[in-house]
Amino acid sequence: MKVIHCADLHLDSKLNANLDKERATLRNRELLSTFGRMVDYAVMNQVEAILIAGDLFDTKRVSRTTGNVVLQKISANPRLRFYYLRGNHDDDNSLKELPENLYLFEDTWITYLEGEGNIAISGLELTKANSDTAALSLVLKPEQFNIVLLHGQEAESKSKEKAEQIPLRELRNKGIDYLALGHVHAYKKEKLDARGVYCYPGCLEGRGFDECGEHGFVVLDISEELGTYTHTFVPFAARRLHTVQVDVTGCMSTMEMLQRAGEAIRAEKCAGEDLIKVVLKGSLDVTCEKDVAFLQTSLAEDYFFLKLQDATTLLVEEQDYSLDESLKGEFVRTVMGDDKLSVEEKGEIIRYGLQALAGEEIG
Amino acid sequence: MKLLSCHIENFGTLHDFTLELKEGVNVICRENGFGKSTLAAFFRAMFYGFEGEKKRSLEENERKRYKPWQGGPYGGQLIFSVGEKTYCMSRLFGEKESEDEFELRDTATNAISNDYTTRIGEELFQIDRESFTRTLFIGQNGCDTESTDDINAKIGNLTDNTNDLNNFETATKALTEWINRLTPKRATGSLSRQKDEIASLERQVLEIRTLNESLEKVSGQRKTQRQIIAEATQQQQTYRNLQSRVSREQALLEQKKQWQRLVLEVKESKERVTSIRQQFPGEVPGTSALQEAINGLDNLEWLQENMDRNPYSEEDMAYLGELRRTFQGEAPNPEEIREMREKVTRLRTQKEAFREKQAGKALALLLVAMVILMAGVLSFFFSAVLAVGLLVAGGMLLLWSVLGKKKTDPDILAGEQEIEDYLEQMGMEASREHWEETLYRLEKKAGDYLELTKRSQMAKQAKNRYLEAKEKWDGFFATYQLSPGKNPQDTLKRIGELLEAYSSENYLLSAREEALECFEKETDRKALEELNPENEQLSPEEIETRLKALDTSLEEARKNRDMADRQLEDLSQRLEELEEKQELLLQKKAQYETELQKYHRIVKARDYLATAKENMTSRYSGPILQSFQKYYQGITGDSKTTFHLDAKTVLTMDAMGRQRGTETLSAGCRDLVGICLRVALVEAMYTRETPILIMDDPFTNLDDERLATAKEMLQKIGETYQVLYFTCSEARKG
Repeated sequence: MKVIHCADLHLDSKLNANLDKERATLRNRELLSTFGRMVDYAVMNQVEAILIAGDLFDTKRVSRTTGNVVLQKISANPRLRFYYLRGNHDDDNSLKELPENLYLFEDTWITYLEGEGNIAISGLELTKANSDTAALSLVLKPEQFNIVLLHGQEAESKSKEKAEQIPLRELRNKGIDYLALGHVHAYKKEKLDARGVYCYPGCLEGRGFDECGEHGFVVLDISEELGTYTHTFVPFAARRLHTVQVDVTGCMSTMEMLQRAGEAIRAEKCAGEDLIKVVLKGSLDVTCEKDVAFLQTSLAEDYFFLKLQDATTLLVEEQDYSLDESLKGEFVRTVMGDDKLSVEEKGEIIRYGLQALAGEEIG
Repeated sequence: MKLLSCHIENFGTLHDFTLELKEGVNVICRENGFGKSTLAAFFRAMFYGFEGEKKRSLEENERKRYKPWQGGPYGGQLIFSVGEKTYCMSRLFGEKESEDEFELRDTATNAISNDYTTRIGEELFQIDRESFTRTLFIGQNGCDTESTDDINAKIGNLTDNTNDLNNFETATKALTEWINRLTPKRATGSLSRQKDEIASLERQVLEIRTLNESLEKVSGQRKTQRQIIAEATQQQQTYRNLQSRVSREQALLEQKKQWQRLVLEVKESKERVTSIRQQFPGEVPGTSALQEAINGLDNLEWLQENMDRNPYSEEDMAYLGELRRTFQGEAPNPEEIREMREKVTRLRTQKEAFREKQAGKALALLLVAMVILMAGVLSFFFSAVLAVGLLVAGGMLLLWSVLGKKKTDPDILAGEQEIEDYLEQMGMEASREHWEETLYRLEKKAGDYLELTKRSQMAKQAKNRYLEAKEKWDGFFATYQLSPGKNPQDTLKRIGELLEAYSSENYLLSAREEALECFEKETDRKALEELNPENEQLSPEEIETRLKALDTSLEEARKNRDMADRQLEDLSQRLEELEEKQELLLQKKAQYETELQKYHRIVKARDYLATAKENMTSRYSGPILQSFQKYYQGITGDSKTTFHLDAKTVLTMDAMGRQRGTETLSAGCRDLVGICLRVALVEAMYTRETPILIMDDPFTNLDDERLATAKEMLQKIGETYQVLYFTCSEARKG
């Protein structure tokens, strides 16, 4: 029996931290579309159940379109069972009329049986009230293949402050074969105990530059007779996000920086549909010519979205100005001599001053 | 640089005007209205072009202002020398700058020179138009001066790399422009605008909290309604299930009742059948048997009647016995008797006839006898003895007449014998005269015999049949061990009724048993047997009522939920807008912080630049002040007043116990101070090259004494610089 384990779809995300409204809307539709594609994948690949380990939605106020698409996608595939454990972003009000093949969990353990009854899917929605006893109250039959759904941050032991924590220590030796988790947005699979593993499939689509890399879901192919399974991570995101670090130390012009950034992006093998964050780093001479807007525009031409972050520092070679009797020399010496200024401030101030003196655009 | 000559084709009021220039002071004295200001403007325009190109007013727009009244192209030529070279510069001004024509020729070769461009003023003097105006061009009421960037650039021209210093003012201006553009202090600054925008957004997003509270509240309401709906739906389902169960149970109950009724009916039927059956000690007669018995009874009655109709009494039997004995078992044939009787009759007739023959005889005897008899009868009234005698006589006669030997016919006799024999044979003893009677009697007897015999047979037969039928009829009762009772008919009728009842009960029982069997076959008996409806179970009506109440609650809750949904949608939409604004606010704040930082750093850059510039200029303020005081004392002879010059080349002087600005001086003194300071600046600025000074009647405010001094100073300046000195007054002529 094949089962998909996904989590953190965060449908209806705002996505406006980086993207403009138009692209945020497009990207949001893509998140929804990827959910639909995943369901299609499940149908095409004889998957029988989809486990959604929390945060199907990003907001407690799900748009009607998203709600309808999700419900219709579920109800249009009645042979596919959806086990949806609500996460900290989800609301129990999100979906109106629940299809028959959508199974929900509560704040007490609920177990559904799959296959011939020898695959048990247990889940519990963590709350402040139940988080202390969640692991203790979990009782599993050792003869079954036990999948346990939880949504929260893995932790060796339970912290009292946060409800959404997975106390791994307390979940060990409980008879768990596969601990299907959600909450962490990057894929992670680790050994839980001698019998089982725990796994975060990560979010289905990266949304911000803290979610770079491959995203998708996990397919479990469980042998009901043997109680064994294979575990495959399926990259599935429509677009990938990359953070590309570009060291522009020594560059004296925008074109040089452009060239280095281009090389770095190509080395990262970014695709045109990807979202890229380019971070310029390194030290630049205070007199260098650098047009960040031009760089941004030039680099962004070939990609769906490109964001440029200038994290360079300005390097002021004081000795170059020590014998300079000009106003420029006097200015640099005056700024550099002020101990109240930070190095960054000095660099910026000198750059502005020199740009102004050179008749260049200040920025 | 030295100006050698100039020629004005057209420029303002000047037309075809030529001026030759020499080294030192060139005094150009013309009357008011000659156009010396125009001439000075011509020089400036020749070196720098026009200013205020985009200004509409004639005063501010030089191109319009100096466009010749008569129209046509305007401009002119300047011949000047720089170092060893002499140039001829021509400019023709058009309607706009792009239509201007500029030409520079090296007078030695008359070839076009590229040594300078249209920006020849800046290239030649290394100062911009403003600086030119402030230093080299000293116009009327234009003596006040402050150092400009180019002046300071020139002051600081101690190194080859002078561009930075030259651009100080530009840089400061650019930085100031940025500062002004960004400033949070003025409404026009982008930071100020951003601050306003942020404040506005902050005010707007304050609503988020209220909205969130409303959302929470409405969401709670919606959740409550959904719970109500869920609970009501569940209750509805429960009641429907209950309804279904009750309905099913009702149906089962009905079935059970029906079953029980059927069982009871069967039982009742059986009891009735048994009860009826018990009326029959033996077997239950069949309807045909009963009918037979009934028919038998009828038959018996009929047979009884038949017997009654064929009476055969003891007398009859005795009589028949007598007759049998008489006839000895053989009854005479009536025909024979009739023949005998006829024979008798015939004999009688024969005899009569014979008698008649004899009758006469006898008759007479008879009659006599009769008469005697009658006489004897009648004689009773007279004499009994006579009467008796007569009667005896008559009788005797009669007897004789009757019994007297008579003569008989043999045939008659034979016949009579035959009859006699016959009668004897028949056991009948009769006299001849009674033969006929006897024969009649015999005939009668024979008839009786026959009849009685027949009747005897019939009676016997009837009786036998009756008995036989009776036996058979009795057999019915015997067979079925029934008693016919006193009234067999009633008994049979009752039996009939019983049988009918028995039959119909049996039929009914059979039908009921069949119905029961069929029912039990088609019905889950176990379910019926186990059926045990709860005692406190709701009635279907009560369930229906509750379901209706739930429907109403559900409808209400759904309405409330839909309303909450709509409210949520509206609130969400609003919240979304505000959250977008909140996001925008964050971005704006971040942008504000970035720009504020930039602003502060640009301000600092400007401040540091100013400090650097002040540091530099302060190094030259001493020489400038010295030079100023040299000229000032030279003109005024005033060595007492102490002047100060700050880093910004702002001149102050000690007066009445403290430093005061030059604005306290008279207009004439102020002009002098200005001229001296200009010359001092120029002196500090141009250490290697002597520039040209153009003065447009700057001494108009000076009194005669000071004017003389000023003229001396002019001559002195002329030793170092070429000076174009314009004046409209002969008195102020150098």
